[in-house]
Amino acid sequence: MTTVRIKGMLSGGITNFFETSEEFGSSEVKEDNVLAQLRKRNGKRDDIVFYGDYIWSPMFGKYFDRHQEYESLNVRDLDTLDKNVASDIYKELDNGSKFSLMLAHIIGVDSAGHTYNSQHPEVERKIIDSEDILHNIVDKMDDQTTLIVFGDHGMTTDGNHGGS
Amino acid sequence: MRSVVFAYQKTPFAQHDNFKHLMSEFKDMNKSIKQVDLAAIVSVLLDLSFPFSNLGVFHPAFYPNENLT
Repeated sequence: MTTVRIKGMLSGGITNFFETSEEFGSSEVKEDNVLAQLRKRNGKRDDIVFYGDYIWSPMFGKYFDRHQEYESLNVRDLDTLDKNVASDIYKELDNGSKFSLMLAHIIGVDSAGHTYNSQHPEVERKIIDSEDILHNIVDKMDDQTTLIVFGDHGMTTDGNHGGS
Repeated sequence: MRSVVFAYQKTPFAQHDNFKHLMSEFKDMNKSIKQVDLAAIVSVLLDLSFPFSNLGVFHPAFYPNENLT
């Protein structure tokens, strides 16, 4: 689910059915995408930074100038990745937002949904955690930055992928 | 649970005072933002060419204020 969605979002295309096979081992992205365009324009400068889930790096790792990936296979661990990624983001912002594009991927809400269900207090707690992170980002970001927040999929009542 | 998109910047978006006018100009445009539109939106914000296989459209709500005449 996630790898296919990520590719779709960065290339602006509809990822096809057969790519679900790549769900089990993501490989380098060959289609043109936003990161490739940015790299083509700016060359190798401190431009694209990434913090988040390790599934991004086989696909887009070659575009990242600064990056830190964390593993996410343990869906019962709801906090470690989010905390690490949040502190990485704050460091970048405190350091003067020296990037053209920062990608950050926090996964706690998704993991909480998979482990419990969408009505579970742990999901609510992770949503509040995520809101705290957003609050801190808004406090720290400068006037030239646009923050865009989105999910790669919705959540069904039982906490799995789906919804709209 | 539905997925949503949230955007914020410290200088106002066009939406600030011209959004109604914009939306009437873009009547054909679906008011919802699709996942596939994100590449187009990010491309415009960073002043990049759209990726070759792009099918998404830009959304007028993301215009910076000063670009409106």
